Amino acid sequence: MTPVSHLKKIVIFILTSIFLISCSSKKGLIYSSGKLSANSKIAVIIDSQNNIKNAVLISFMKQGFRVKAVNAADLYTMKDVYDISDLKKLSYNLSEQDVSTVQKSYDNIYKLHVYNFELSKAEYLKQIRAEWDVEYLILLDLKEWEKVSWARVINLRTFEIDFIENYPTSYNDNVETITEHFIQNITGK
Amino acid sequence: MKSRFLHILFIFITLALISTSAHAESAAFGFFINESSNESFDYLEKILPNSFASTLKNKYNYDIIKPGRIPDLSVDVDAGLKIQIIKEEDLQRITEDIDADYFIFGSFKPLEENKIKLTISIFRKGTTSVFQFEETGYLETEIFKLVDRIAVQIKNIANESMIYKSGTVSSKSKLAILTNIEGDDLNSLYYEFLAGGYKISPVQGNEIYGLMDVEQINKFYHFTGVNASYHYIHSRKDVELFHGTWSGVEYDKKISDDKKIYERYSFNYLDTKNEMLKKIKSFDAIDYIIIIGFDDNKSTAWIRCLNLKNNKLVITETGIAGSSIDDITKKIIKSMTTDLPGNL
Repeated sequence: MTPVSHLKKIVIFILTSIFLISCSSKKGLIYSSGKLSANSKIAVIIDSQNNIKNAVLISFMKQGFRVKAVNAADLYTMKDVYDISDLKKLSYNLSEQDVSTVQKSYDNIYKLHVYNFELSKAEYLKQIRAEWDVEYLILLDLKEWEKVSWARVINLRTFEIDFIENYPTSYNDNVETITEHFIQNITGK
Repeated sequence: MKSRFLHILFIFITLALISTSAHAESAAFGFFINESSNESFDYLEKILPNSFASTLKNKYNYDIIKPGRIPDLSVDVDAGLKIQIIKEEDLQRITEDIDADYFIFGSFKPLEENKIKLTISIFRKGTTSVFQFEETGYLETEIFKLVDRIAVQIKNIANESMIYKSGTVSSKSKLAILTNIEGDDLNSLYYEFLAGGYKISPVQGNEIYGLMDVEQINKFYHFTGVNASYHYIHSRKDVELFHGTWSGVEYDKKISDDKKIYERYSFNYLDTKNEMLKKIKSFDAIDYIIIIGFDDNKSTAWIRCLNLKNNKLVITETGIAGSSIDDITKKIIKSMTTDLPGNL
């Protein structure tokens, strides 16, 4: 065997290994505690352009779901609301040194903020359930080929996660096929 | 020549392995102070730390230093002097000349029905944090069991993994998980818990994007429950905010407000936190709050678990390593469902 062909084999082996490793890291998974009836009242949370959102919502409506108008922007993320680094400036204003009492206060204020933020969101979800009559909140993140699209269903009556799925997007997938795939598994049809 | 090199290499590796396995943790002990006014229990102030030290030495191969050998703690009892309780703010000074990785001290209080409550503090030399936990048991017949149980806790806390357990978390419990991963990674974590029979509250999972990075989740690394805590050493001296009529009304008001902040968020944090937990409990029937902090590579994680029914810290563990998020989560669940090794 010539050194060139030997090197070629090594390169092929390395590339194959990398490919196999990258494939295995994109495992799909699915958990469902029960099937959703297709006439359930749902709100779909997806952070995409309006035309993509519409395509997703149409797929759900076609299956008979009663889709409520809730926007992803209604459930803002904490970084949009609060910049914790501001707190640090306030907290350390008293001393230039790393004083553990000051660090402790700063960390504790942050922790309480996180608890409070989660409580506020939970109260908001309760409001969505009570006032908008939404039974399930469906979170979707649709990704391109080689990445993992995922879905999560929150039961707003029991306040528990009822369904999760990670779905490695395949080469032929598009918005409709991924959404239909998730609907199929959510409803069990 | 080649075989000689291999021999030398073998010797080096063997020596390295021997020195690694021979390394023992070392701990120095302070006295355990009688917090009651009943002086008939004073004899335990020396007996308790000496018992813990002996158990750690005999059962777990710790290098130990007993309280009588620490100059800073020596007290002339014959002259009527009483052993003083150790203030956390003095730990750096006390341990400066002690050749041990950990310094362990505490206090006790006799209770009714021949019971005793011990508060044990573990300080790792060179840090600014203390792990403190409580244990209650019977005196006399059960005291040896209690000493063994506490020695097991100390042995597990006083090492890199900092494992503490006051109970286990049964499946079917409802968990609120706060972590610094998001999206499909968060689903992978949820999957292991759901497949294990746990119910998951949608706390944090109700968002498409995660709200915390590594720096932010690490704020939860120090964690407090009513029975145990891993906390920063705090001292009022750190934040002496001088004020008075001389300083002017406006300045005086500002300093008073700052003082209130430190009272609420540092010195009385447990009360402040429990107020917040009460609100969470009234909203959703969550059994446990679990904090899981992953490192940047998602190859190791630490966990803190709080029982929301009684606000007790149930589990702490650090350095849980795994090949993937689901692998680490499986190890976390195993840790949550099993008691400390060697516990009674």
